[in-house]
Amino acid sequence: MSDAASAPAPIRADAPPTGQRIIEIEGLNKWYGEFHVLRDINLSVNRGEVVVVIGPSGSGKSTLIRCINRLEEHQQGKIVVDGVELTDDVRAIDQIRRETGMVFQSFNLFPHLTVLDNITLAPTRVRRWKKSKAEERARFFLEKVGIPEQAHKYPGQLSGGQQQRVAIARSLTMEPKVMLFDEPTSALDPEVIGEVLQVMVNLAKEGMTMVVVTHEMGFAREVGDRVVFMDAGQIVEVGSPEHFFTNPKEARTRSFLSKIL
Amino acid sequence: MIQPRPAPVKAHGFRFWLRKNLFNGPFNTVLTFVAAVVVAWSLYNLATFIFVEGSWGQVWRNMRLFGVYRYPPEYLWRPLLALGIMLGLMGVMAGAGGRKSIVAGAFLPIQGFVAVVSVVAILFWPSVRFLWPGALALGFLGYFIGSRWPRSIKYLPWGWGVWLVVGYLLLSGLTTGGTLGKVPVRDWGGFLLTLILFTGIIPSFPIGIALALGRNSKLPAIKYFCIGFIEVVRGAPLIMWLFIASLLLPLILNVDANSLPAIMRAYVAITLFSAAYMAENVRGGLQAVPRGQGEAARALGLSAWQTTLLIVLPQALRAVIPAIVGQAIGLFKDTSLVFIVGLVDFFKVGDIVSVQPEALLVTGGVKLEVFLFIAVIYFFFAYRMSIASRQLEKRLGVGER
Amino acid sequence: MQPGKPNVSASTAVVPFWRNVKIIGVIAQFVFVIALVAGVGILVNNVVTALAKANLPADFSFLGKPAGIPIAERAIPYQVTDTYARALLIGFLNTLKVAIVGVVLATVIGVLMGVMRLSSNWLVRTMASVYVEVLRNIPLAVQIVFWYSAVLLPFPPRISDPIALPGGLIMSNVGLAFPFLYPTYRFAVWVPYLVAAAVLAGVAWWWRRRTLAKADRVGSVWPFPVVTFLVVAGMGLGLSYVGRSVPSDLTFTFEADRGRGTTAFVVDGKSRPAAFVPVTIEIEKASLTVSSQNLVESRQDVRGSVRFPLMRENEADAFEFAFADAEAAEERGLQLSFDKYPSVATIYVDRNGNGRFDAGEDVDPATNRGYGGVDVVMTVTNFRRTLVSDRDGQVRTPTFKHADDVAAAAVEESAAPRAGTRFSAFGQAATATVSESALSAKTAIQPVGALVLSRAYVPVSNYEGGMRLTVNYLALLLALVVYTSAFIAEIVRGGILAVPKGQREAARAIGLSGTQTFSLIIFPQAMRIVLPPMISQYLNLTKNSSLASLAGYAELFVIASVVSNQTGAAIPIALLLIGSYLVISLAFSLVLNQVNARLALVER
Repeated sequence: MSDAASAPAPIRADAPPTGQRIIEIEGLNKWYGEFHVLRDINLSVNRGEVVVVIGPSGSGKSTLIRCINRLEEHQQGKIVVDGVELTDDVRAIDQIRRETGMVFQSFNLFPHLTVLDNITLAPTRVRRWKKSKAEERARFFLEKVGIPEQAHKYPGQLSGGQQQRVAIARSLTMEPKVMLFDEPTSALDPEVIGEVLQVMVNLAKEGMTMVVVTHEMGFAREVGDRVVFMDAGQIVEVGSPEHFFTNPKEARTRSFLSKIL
Repeated sequence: MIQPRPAPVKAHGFRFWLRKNLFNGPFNTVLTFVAAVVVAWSLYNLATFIFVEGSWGQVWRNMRLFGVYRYPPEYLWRPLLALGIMLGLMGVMAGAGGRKSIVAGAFLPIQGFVAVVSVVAILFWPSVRFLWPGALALGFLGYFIGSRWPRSIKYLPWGWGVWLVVGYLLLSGLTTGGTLGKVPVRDWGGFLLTLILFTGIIPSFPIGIALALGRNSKLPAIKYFCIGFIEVVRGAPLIMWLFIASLLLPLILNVDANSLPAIMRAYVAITLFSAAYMAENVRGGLQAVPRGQGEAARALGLSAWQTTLLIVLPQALRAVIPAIVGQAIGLFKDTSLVFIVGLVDFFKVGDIVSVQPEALLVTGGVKLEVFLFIAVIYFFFAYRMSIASRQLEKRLGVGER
Repeated sequence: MQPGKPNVSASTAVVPFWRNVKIIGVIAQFVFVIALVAGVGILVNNVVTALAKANLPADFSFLGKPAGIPIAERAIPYQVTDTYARALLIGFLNTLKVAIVGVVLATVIGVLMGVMRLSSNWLVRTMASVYVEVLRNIPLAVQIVFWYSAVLLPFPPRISDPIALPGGLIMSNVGLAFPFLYPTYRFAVWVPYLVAAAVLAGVAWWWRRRTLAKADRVGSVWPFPVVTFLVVAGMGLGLSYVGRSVPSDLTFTFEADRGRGTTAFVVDGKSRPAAFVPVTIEIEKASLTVSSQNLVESRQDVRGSVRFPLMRENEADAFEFAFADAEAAEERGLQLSFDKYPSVATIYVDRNGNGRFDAGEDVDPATNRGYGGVDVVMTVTNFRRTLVSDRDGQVRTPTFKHADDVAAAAVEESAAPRAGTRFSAFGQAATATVSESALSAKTAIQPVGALVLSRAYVPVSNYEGGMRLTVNYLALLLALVVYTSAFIAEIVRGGILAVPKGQREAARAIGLSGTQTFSLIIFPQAMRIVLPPMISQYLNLTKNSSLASLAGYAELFVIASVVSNQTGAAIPIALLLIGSYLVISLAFSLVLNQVNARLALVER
């Protein structure tokens, strides 16, 4: 099996060329009851790009990426993922969910299944792979995230960092075109955040398209191709990390950064 | 660095235990004496009644009525064979799960009970002298098979399915007369009937789960139908539903009252009643499953049904197993209410036995003896189940973080 | 898809409806509702045709017809000729009667047992555990039968020989009777005071709250209105006893030889029963003849037992006893030995001549049975009793006869003092006087205040006066209470254990004692956890009262099933029953929601 440290193995053999848009969001609006959570969001993500979304809590970051795979329903605007528009169409929803992986703050591993079963469940049921193929791929990705020896344990027996790495492997095994990360390190003890971030850094280096909501500014600076700053349901500023961390345009961005840096 | 040292010796022994548990302080000492008097008085009266005053002949003479009521004596081998097969299947589960498993915890006491009855049968009941030990032997055979070939547990669902069919055919019979002569359903009674009605919890499972899922549904029509059903059924007592079912089921289904035996009416009522309670238990479990579980499954591309069946339900059911066992105990006790529709279950046999002419000859009647016996039998099974439930609770609590 | 081309406009085509998540939901509901309506329609149609075929009522018109069901136990007046609706109402009230008392008692016992289960005393703890485990693992039906036919029905003293317990309680296999306060015809005198007390209590409550708020002080509010109410109401009650006299139109007629009397208001020749009027009856001399009986009670034979109505020794100057056929008795050597003076005695023959009743002397060797069928005459001198008439103005006494010459002769013959009788009254010389044949009594009506204490007594073969609880009610109540208390005990135990350990530690750390910690910190918090499941147990108790038929108690379900059998109105009765139980359930869940809301508020 390939060694993560050496030349990165492509995650998908048929990975399309980078550069073209894979996520396109236009005029997105969402309300919770009367509360306007997302306001006129326009954002596009290119293939192979790593977009980091930052902002104060309650700014709508999580809601935004949960709209991308329709865990939340949007009321206005247009979301297109890999050429498929997200509508009420069941087929479109299913297809988009197949092609996007998601990693949650609270891991959300299935506690009644072993690590291996957690990972192979969706490939066998959704992609209809043979059990043997699914297991082979599962072991490949477990190795990639650095915990090949835990395959037969239950999630409850693993540490938080290990659980989150299993969750990443679980998403990757579905061979998604986009990975969505919803504050993947916020529920972790400080000493294990590093191991999860390392997995994400490697993933980015291998060319995975990623949308990451996080508070880890180091990650944003090092890995992000673009940084999106959100506040009060709006995108306030978008830019490269250098621009963003050294010379932000907007006053709100500056005040936010001054508080957390 | 300070080396670890052994802890100072803890005081123990009988006298220490006494002082700690019975005589720590004047209040507790007084309490102990009062309690001791109450206990001694109760035990003395109980013992006097059981060993001196009680007249147990009436109970002893009517064991067959208690067991099967009017089921023909020449066909007794049939329910006992059904029992034997059941014990065998349980034995396989228990054997495969090991001595410490939950199934074994239920199986071994039942075997113990059957063993005691077998000894009594060998000594006193010539007609079933070999049948009870036979059932016992089948149980142990199953246990042996289970522990020798644990993989045989794979075929068990088939075994139970076959058992349901065979068991029913054994009880009801196939032909007119002969070895497999038909036994009309109205002649089933006694503890046999109690057990048959108790199986009503099995069909109540899927119905209850469906109701619980329906109650959690986003679709208002389905949701409010399920809420209405659950709340109306739970709002009124079982005895009323039994009564209503016995009156109305033939009308509702537009069939002749005679073609729908009382057992079936009672069975329907018990199943639906149990399903409503099951639904509430399952709903409790569904609420205990974090939202993120369903979201993660949907994000992986699983469909709504797959998410429910593969991710949410297994976790929900596991969380409420103790509650479901509790419900089973309740149902086991509640089967005693079928007297209202004219069925003669284990409890009702007591009434019949205590007004037989022989019983009336006994000074003061034999009700106390008869119902003490009935209470003890019910207690044995219900208490056994509650112990199993407590073990489960402990195990599940430890198993998950 | 081709690379390089922006794919924003990829799929804006109209989504077919069978793939649209929202429309699928609507369709699913639509299909479900149609299936439901169709299914229910078929079933209802079945029912309607079946009912028409069998010619059974399907509406509620039968409710207005006379029921003809005798109901012994009722909270409101009822006669056999009353309607089905009223019979059902009585059933509903009887359900409430057993449920409300049951809930209170079950809570008391349950909490006690729950606390006992956590006692540091091993014996107490174990006892409570056994109680809980045994009772909740035996079907309630078995327990009701047990209490009814095994404990209460064979309750050793039959109604002819009831147990008189302290406090005026009387227990027998007919039930329990005890003294009770009833409002009299002068209750109206008290009413203005009660109203005033309520108003003043309200004022006191308001004033106290305002004062506290003004002074910004913490203090308890409740004692003020409560004390105000008690003082004013008590004053009114006391005043109702001042200057009392018997109204001139209040009469008491008493037929001593029938043992019956009536208190009534007679206005313009019309009489109206007067409820709860105390009267005194004095009978100078009277006799009562009772036959001895060989009885079987519970597990023992009671041989040659003579049972006079329950009387207390101080109710007469003297009791004298004699055999009606003194000669024959003398010949057989019969004697009386009192079990309970002056009511219950055993006839025996002093065969070993020791002057006492010894075991076996109550058996006649000739027949190997007791001395049954022997008439015994009791003669009382200056019998007096104060009674309170019942709701219908009725009063009953033992049916004394005039102490005529037969009895007098018998008394004279057996007048010589006998050694061996336990009570000296037996040997007193009798002074029999032959007077007019009809028995006469001196009666008087006692003046009353607003309330009167009515005592229970047994004039002939049933309770009169006081408050009576039938054995059916008691059996059901006991079974429900004991059964439910086992569940409540578990809930209480769980609630106490669920209070975080830190609470106990914190309480001990601020210096509270063990008892204080429990009563001030642990218990109140446990109650909060305990209340919701406890209320659902109350609901269970209420629903379980439908097993009343096992104890012969006429509650809602029992009466409904009788009505259903009589009229064949299965559907309306089913609807009525479901409706009634739903009302009860809703009432409980309303309370539950209130409690939950209140707790949620307090938590904040």
